[in-house]
Amino acid sequence: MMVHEDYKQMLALQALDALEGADVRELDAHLATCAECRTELDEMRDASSLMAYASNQLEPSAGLRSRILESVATQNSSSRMSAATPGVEPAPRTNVIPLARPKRRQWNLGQSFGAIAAALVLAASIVGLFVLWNRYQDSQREIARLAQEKATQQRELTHLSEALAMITARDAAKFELAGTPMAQKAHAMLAYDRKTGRAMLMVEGLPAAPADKAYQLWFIAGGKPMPGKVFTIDAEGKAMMDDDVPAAAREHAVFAVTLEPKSGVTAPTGQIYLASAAS
Amino acid sequence: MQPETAPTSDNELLRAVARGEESALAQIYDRYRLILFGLIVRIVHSREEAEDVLQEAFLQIWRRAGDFDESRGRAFTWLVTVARSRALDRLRSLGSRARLAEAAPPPEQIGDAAADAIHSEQAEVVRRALAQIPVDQRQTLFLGYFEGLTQSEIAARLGAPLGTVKTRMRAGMMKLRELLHEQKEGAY
Repeated sequence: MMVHEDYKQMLALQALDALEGADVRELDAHLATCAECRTELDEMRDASSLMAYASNQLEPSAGLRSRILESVATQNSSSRMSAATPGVEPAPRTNVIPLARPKRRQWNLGQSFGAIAAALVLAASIVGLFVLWNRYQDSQREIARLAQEKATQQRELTHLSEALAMITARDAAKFELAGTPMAQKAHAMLAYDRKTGRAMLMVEGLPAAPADKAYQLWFIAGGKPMPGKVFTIDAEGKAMMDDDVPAAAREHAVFAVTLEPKSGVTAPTGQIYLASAAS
Repeated sequence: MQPETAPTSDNELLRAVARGEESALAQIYDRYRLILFGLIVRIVHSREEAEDVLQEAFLQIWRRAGDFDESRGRAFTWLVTVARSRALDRLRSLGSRARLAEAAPPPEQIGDAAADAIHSEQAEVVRRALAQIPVDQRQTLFLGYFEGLTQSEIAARLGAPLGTVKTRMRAGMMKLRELLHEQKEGAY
């Protein structure tokens, strides 16, 4: 039987997330009733977070700030590649046209032939340059497209492996969400790590949403709904997304999916399509 | 549009983010990008991955700012915790690939002078504090913090008994907390 002092000994390790298994659960239960330990753990976390200063301060790419703000503005964190391509497009005509404007003066036959030959060579060069430039641009676009495709596939692969790890983890919490009368064929599974709240939602059988709507996940604890991410489904009504279960909803909560405006809402307004039984 | 009355404390900024003010998120980015990005690069060992993770972290900050509870700790701790959690998640999903890259740490690159100056004093305080912690204790703290290892994983990595690892981690954390208190009192 552990006593207060035993739990205090665990706080430093918990502040580093180094505690494991039953110790975490027992400490969590103790923290729920011990304000002194909660305060000390908060202090320990403040101290541990300062270790971030032990790393070198590094400057991210200049474009990252605007990518983040764009993602936030659109609530869509994927496919930002289009924003990256304009930088590689110095307009080809500005490179070419200044080379191709000889002044016309007085002409004799020799000069005319010479000028015509030179003009032809120049025109051929311009056409050649133009063709090369177009190919270069095509290649750049193709590279950007492939990079985007690769990033998407990697993200999907990461999602899948995370989902698998989450579902197979021994101490993961798993909840089935059943379709309501709004979507009787739908069902979903929500798996999450009780310690970190990292969650994976897998959905099947949801009906297509109207263009201005999307589905949104909710964590309902103590009767209070907390908003999760907004998601869209594919043509088969399937979706998979990660999210974070708020700490307040990790032990006893109901999970639900509603149909909401596409940008998401902070309190549910639409019909419930999926819901778990109370935990 | 309220550039003149923009909130300045971290807590105020997070409250504004929770209300959906994008400019507040931009200010948090400007204020903490160097330290958060440095932390993430140190964890995932790749600038490319780190940029992706930093973006994820800021989207989480955007969506979850309302979860931040001022009475439970500093905003800085919350921001760093979000970034660290995301980075450790990515490290795990990358598996051994990123760990193999440890042999080639990213080049050092200090950010612009103005932003750097804001945090340089704090960084100096922490570095001095860490330097005073015995190496074996510091090693366990770093393995836990930057690699996300649990106590038994650290024991396995170091080939040390679990009890010894726990003792070192506790002693290291106590020392860190004490030294930070002392140095903060001296510095401010």
